[in-house]
Amino acid sequence: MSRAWSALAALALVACVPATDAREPRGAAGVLARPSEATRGATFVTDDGWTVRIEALYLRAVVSAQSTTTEEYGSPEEYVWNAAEEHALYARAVREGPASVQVRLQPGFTGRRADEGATMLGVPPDVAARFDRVDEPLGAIGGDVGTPAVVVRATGEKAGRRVSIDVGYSTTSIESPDFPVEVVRDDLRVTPMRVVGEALFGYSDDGVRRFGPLADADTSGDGVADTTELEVARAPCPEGVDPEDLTCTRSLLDLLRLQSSSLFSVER
Amino acid sequence: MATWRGLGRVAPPVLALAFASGRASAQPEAVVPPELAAEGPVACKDPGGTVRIEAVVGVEGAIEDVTVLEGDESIRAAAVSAVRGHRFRPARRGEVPVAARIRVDVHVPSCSPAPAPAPAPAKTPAPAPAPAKTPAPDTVDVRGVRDTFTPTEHSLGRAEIRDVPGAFGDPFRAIDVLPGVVPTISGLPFYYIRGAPPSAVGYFIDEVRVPYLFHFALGPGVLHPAVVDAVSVHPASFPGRFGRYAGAIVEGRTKEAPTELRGEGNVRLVDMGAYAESPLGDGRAAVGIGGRFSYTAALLSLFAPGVTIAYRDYNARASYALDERTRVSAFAFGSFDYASQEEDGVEKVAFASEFHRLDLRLDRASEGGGQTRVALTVGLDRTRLEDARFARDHLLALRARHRRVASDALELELGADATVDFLSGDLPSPYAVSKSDYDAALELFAPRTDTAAGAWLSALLRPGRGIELGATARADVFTSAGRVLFGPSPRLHARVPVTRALALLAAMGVSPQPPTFAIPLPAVGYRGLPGGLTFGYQKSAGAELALPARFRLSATGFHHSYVNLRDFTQSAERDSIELPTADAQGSPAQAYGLEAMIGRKLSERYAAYASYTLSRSVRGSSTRLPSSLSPFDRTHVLQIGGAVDLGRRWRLSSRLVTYTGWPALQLVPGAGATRLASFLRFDARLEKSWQLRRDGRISLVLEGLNVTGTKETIGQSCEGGACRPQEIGPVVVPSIGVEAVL
Repeated sequence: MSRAWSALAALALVACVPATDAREPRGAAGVLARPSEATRGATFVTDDGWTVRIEALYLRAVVSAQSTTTEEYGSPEEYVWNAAEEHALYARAVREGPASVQVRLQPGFTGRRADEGATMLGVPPDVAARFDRVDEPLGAIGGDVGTPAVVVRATGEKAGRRVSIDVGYSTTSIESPDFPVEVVRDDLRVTPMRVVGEALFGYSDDGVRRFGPLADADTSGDGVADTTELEVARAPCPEGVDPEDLTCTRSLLDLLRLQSSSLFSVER
Repeated sequence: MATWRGLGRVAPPVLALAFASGRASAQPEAVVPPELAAEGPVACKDPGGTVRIEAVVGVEGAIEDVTVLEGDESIRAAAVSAVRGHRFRPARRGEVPVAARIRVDVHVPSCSPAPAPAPAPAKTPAPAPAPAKTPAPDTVDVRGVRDTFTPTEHSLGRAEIRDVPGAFGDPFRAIDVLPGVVPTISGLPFYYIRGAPPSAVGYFIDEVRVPYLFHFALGPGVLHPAVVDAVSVHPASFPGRFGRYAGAIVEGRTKEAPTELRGEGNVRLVDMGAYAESPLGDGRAAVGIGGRFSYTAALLSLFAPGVTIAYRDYNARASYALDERTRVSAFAFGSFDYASQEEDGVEKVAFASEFHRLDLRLDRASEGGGQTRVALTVGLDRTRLEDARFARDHLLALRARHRRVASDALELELGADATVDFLSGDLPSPYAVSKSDYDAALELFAPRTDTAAGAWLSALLRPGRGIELGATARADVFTSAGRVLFGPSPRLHARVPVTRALALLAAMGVSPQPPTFAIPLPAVGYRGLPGGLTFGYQKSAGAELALPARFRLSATGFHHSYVNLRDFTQSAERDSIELPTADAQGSPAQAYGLEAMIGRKLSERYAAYASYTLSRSVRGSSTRLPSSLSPFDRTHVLQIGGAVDLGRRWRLSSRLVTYTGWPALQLVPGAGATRLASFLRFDARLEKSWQLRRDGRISLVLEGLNVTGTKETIGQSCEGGACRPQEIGPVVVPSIGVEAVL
């Protein structure tokens, strides 16, 4: 009889503890976005003699991570963050083991609020609202649609002249370099990523940093080169390049878009 | 002497029966139960007559063993059914409630104006000698009380349930025979009731809320059938003691404690179960224990290798009479379900959940038919989420109600109940799952305390001539994560006899419900009452007609509308079943139609019935959300069944079930059907019984659901302008079982 009761008790215990299919070990992999001094607001001097201060730089990007052993992607995540602050940006549910992380600047969907799809980090409401608007000029490069990926405000001074740019723009999908990360189950692992705001003012064609053309775009003379003015103004044509070449016909806004590809770098 | 003092027509709430107990002292007068009296004028083809019945009124007032001593064969079942339909205040010896064996003559009216004296057929056995426990032949007083009900309620007793083929003797599975109950997929015990999805239907066992009544998939009910006395479906204007569900209430009631050892066991191909209960000591106490467990492995290995389905349930109860009027009882029951499928050598768990309840109850009867009940329920619900993570709900509930029979014409009930759910869930690591999955887990499983409290006052007025007017004022308050919502729930019902055979019925009510996960899973629900309460606005009216040969026809038209109803999906136009969300989908929604049932009780020697539901269930009816059919809408649901006593203790019953297909998704405009194909199923049951001792039996039961092996269409696939039906099955459930009843 006692054996019967023992068997019944064992049966009951087993019955209540069903667990055989353990979930695959997964964790989060990402980057620790660390702003450069200039991105934090320290002034720097461009090659054309302007003293520039980045007053605000907010970015929207999607962080994704891929297992390098299984080539399986985790769950990408979208962020809007204050680039002047240090933030961990990561993708979740990445297979345990070595992985590579990419950060891709990406416009939002029109009609969807930024905070509906993205994690907002250090973004005040007025700036968040700018990420919802589609009133910025769109589409010079690759027919971009959507809401801004970059909102930047910077002021340059030179010889008593003071001009600001205040612009939000979308971008094509601009990816960062790959950041290697070792994923650990149920944990977050990040690797440092440098956010170089001053790179927006460097020209990819010759590597020279200039603020003058942006200041000259302020045709209204109100001290602020806004989105419309930057869309109209043409970028300087490098020496030796055919004036009809795309390089010489693009707008300053397109140039900013192009330079956005240099915003992220591996921290040495 | 014996008299019935009926105050109502069908089910008077108070019946008084005074009699002389004992062996030979009872020579009762013929009595006419009100329900039989009402059928008198239309029962002219029957011979009528008197049936002498010996019955045991248990210590809690329920009719237990019934033995027909005399009476024509053709009217015995009706008389037994009438007696079983009531509860009585138990007899008492001094201060102690005792079981009492009573004899009563029940008169079944014929066309003759006066009750005929009871014939004494030659075969009629002599009155059985009472057992030793029979009380001394003192005069005792027995008073019957029946819980308040509403005129549109549908009920099935155990005797009827056993004869519903395809229900496998299971009380809760048998409810799909009732009108208004629209199946999802054949055999699955998930129903839409008047347009309300399963999540809007509340399940109660002895007034204790449970997350579900059925084991997973095609499994049986979660309570052994031997414990269940009856099941009821309240589609509208529920009794005041029920609330917090916008759709309907399905209620199971357990049997009273027995006066002598009672037991039942079942062995089937896939499971076995048993229940035994016995009085203790001087009869003041009774204890019972039972359970069921499955062994599906062998069968599934043949039909679905790699699939595991397991279920178990248990129940135990004990009761003790503190004095002649007061009884305390404890009722513990619970259920466990597990389903998995092996994929690539790994067992993937599809479903694993359990619930447990302990209900401590005090019942006190007062003079004049009043009743008081105070009860405390503790419980645990648990659903496996993933790995070793579970969602848990430790619940604590209190309820109290007092019914007072103010006069023959007025009955009042005042009650209150409160439930506290201490919900907790094992959240996943925020890094191991996607953000949306983690946010969903937070919403569904984050630790929190939800409360719901309600109070009600019901009045039942019987101004005379069988008229019943009921009104309930109920209100509930819900809290979760700091949010508080108030849900008023007024209800009205009426039953007005037009003639002795015809009565008009009406019921309407408002029923609020907190946001509920569209799939009823234990311990899974929404935090913070997102989207507000769901409201059901229930309106129905109909008539019931007593027909010859104790057939009864009822027809009810209904219109239910819902606001904030949460369902699987918004409409038939959506291309897939969506995951349930906190936001109401397809709101507002409505369902309207007609329910009809004609038949005589299945427990009769020859029985037949037809149940029909004509309905339309619509999601959305506003400019914001254009109206469209519910994806689970079925225009027609028809069931025709019957049972026949073949003699020599053979009994055969069968059922034909047919219903319209779901609205079809128009994958290719103009191609394919707008409705999926109708489904037709045939169920059959054959039972051979052998008598065991005086009241017991052993039965061999062959039963099958969908014995003709019909496939069911659940969709259509279209390619190149041509569409093909997508079918499942055939889902055939055969069963060979042995039942033994002591």
